[in-house]
Amino acid sequence: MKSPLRFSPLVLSALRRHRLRTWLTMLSVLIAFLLFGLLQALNHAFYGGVKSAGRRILVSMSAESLVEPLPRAYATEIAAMKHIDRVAYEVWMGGYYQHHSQILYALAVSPRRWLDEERRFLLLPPRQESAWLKDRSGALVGNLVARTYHWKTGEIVPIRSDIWIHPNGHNTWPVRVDGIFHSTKKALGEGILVHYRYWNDGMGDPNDVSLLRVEVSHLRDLGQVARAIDARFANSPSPTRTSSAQTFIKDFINQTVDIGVIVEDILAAVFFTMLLVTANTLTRSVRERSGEIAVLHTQGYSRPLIFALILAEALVLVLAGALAGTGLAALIVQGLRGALSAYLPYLALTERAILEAVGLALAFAALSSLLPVLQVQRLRTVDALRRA
Amino acid sequence: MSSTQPPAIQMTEVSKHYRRGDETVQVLDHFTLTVEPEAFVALMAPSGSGKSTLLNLVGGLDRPDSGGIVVAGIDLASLNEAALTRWRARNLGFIFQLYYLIPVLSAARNVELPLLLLPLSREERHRRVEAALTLAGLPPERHRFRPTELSGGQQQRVAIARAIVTDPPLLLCDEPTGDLDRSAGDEILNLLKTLNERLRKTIVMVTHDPHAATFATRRIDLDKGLVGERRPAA
Amino acid sequence: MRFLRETWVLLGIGIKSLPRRLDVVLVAVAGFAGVVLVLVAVLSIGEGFEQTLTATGVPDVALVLRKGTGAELSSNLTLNDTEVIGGEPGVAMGPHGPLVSPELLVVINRRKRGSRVETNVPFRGVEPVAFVLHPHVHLVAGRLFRPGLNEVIVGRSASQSFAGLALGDHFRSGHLLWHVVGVFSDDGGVHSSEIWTDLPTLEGAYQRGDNYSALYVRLPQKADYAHFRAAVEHDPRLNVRVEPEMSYFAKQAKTLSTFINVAGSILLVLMGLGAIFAALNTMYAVVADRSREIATLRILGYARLPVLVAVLLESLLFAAIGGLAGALLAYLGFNGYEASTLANFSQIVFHFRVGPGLMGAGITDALILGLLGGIAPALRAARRPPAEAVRTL
Repeated sequence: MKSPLRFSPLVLSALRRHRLRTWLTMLSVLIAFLLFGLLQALNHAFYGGVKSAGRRILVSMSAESLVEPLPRAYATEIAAMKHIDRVAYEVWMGGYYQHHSQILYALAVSPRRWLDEERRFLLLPPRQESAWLKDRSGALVGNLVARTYHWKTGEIVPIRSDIWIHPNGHNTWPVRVDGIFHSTKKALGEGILVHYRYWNDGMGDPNDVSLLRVEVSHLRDLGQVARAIDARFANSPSPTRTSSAQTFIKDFINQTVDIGVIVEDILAAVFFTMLLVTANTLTRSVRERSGEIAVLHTQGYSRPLIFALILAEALVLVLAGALAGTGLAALIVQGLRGALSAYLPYLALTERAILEAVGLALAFAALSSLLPVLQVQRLRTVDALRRA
Repeated sequence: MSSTQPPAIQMTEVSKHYRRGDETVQVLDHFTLTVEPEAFVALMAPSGSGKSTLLNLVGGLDRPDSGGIVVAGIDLASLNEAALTRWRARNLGFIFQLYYLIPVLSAARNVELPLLLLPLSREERHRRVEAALTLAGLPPERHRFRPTELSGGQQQRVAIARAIVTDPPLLLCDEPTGDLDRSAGDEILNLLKTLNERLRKTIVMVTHDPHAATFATRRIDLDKGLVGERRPAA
Repeated sequence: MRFLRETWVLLGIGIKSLPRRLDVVLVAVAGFAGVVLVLVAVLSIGEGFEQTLTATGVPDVALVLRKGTGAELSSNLTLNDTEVIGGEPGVAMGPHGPLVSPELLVVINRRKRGSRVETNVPFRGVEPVAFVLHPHVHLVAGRLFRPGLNEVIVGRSASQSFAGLALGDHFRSGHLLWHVVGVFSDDGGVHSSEIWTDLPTLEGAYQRGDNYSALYVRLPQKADYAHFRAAVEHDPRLNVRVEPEMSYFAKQAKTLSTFINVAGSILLVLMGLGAIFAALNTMYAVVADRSREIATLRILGYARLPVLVAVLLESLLFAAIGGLAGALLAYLGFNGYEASTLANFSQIVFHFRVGPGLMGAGITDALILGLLGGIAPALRAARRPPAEAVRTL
């Protein structure tokens, strides 16, 4: 029975030598990984929506600016182009409920096209769906919005718009809640959908749209189709700018705050510091035991075996801290999710982030045992024995 | 100096135990000892028999479980921690086997440490430090050396200078020659003997070395709290 | 006196023996430096953004927007509104009539320099009176635009941050070609992120007729604001709301600063805990390392309190060095760092600001952490019976 575990008492006794120091180091590692977990969750909260956008979807909007509209007729023209499955359009309502701080993610859409595109992500009673299709001033409301403002089906709610003002001077768009849906796409749960015709009639038939969503038949055609669309309208009064939906979302977030860079910088600083702490603990522990290590050496323990023992000590120290830290982060994220779902629907600690944490912990352990290993390498058994 | 002077040390029925792991070690059991002023006493004992404990008790570093300790008329039990600390600064000099010098300070700075606790001018401190080091026999050119630059015997001389620089009546020595070779050890023992004879210091020295004990004026054999006293032949 | 001298001796010995345990000490110093660096860097974002927005505007100007709108970009007023508002009480008079400045704000896509991300740059149409209402705005290069010629002047931040907006550049937006003829400064305010041209040209380019976004009004007397506001908001001919210019811009900073302050606090607590653990580790090692020295001095008659204070001071010293290093690193690495963010659908360029206040706060935090990390080891050092310390050696 040559299980490597037979060395575990050696490793554990090394860690128990200075219990307080071991605990403090583990707690430092715990904090580092707790931060890692929380920042990863925050990162996902910002960029999680990018992946949920369909990969074959292109977004076309005015080349001039985000707030300039495009003619709705473009939808028909684009639909007639090659390699295109479907074209949908939407008007961004810029809505809020009662007060500016209660922002509503309301879109005016062509109901059938929208349902065709999103139906597979929706949980909506068929009666409510058909009620909405028939009701021109009706709205479909995501379950998260409905929960936040306690809206019920049949209720009439005033959506106020920061952008669209009726020709009569009012900016209130009353709609009836025809259906409340659940969606597997988290962001959809925050959405409100109204009929495009309701908006268009209200505005006096401008026949404009904020953006077009173009579904391309094959992923390989994505770039080519995007260029073709922009080329077609380049010399019109309303030139377009077309990009993939994923790029579109990412660019929009990056314009707000390049959170990814900041998160990475902070993590780098934290991990560098924690690495110092752990490496120092191990170095000191090895230095104090240099006599014992020399004794082991005289008893026939090879250098590789001694290195393995040091690495095992580092692994126990770091993995314990890393697992506890990541676990704590998962608990905190779980706890915050309910409270923050209205603001950060994608807040989550993904499996990927957890795997990254484990990988990082392994690298961390290896790096922090590098210094003590070098120390042992340099150690001359005779000198160490004298100190023993 | 007169006959009415109280004993330098009076220990009466002193008991002391401490724990070592699970077992209780009774190091002193109703131990009684009187040391006359200006005596040079060698406490002989095997290791682990509690001689260091005895020094710690006399030096006020530790308190007995029971019994009384009166040093030069002062009942140590009547002093609280802070008062004991102040008392030590003026009345005691400690000398250890391993010298316990501060490695980052020069010999002179080490000797000055206890003087910093007294209201003395810089010049006065300097004068006393030089006098103590000279008396202890450290060559003047070495007064500015760091302990690591000195031999063991010289380090012990610095430690002795530190112990006598405040001119305390009582010196407590814990194996002062334990880490020195014979000739260096003899020099230190002669120095202690001189301090006893010329400066009239009361000295209590614990040692396990019978040769060292021959320098004392009185030898006490201590074994598990039992005292057997033997006058040296000389 | 004696207490100070004892403390001084203990501290001096501690500092003199630092080289002996440099590695442990560096870890503690790095821990403190790391916390302060991250904290100051994060808070400098909010500080810089707030600085830009609060530096915008002057106290005696009010902003008139259409009722129900939160921002200039979504507001819509007409020429008729201008005339009515110009006649309301309290409005200052200039040589050419009331000091009211109608302004149209749109946004255009520009690529950020050194990136392929397209951002929304604000494009403002103004009349000559605008330069009276925005006294901070002044040309720093080139000349003013001439009306009707598609000429623009560009704010210094916009000119530096976005492609094709340097002096002399031409840029295309929609189907129009614009010529950059001047660069202006807003003394650190938000208008530095904008492009300005004359109002009728912009109205024409965007088919807005005589519509514009907002009206800036000068109200010289403090008491005038309330009067003016009451008059305007109750005027049946108008459907508008009034807000002091400075508070309008300051409010935009709130969301980001709140987010940053919350994130900063969480970071401070977590990283602070990490630094305390590192400091505890270091100080326990220091105390263990010095136990013989301390015991020797205690036997010589040194009291407990100086031991406690000296160890604490040593911990505070590490904290101060680390904190100072962190604050300086943050200053060197991030002060003036240019960034931009989206507020009300338009990019605002701002600079991270590491000011003396923020650096001071960072160092203070480090000192608090140093105190927290030093107290337990200091107590252990002071409480340990010297006899025990000597015995175990």
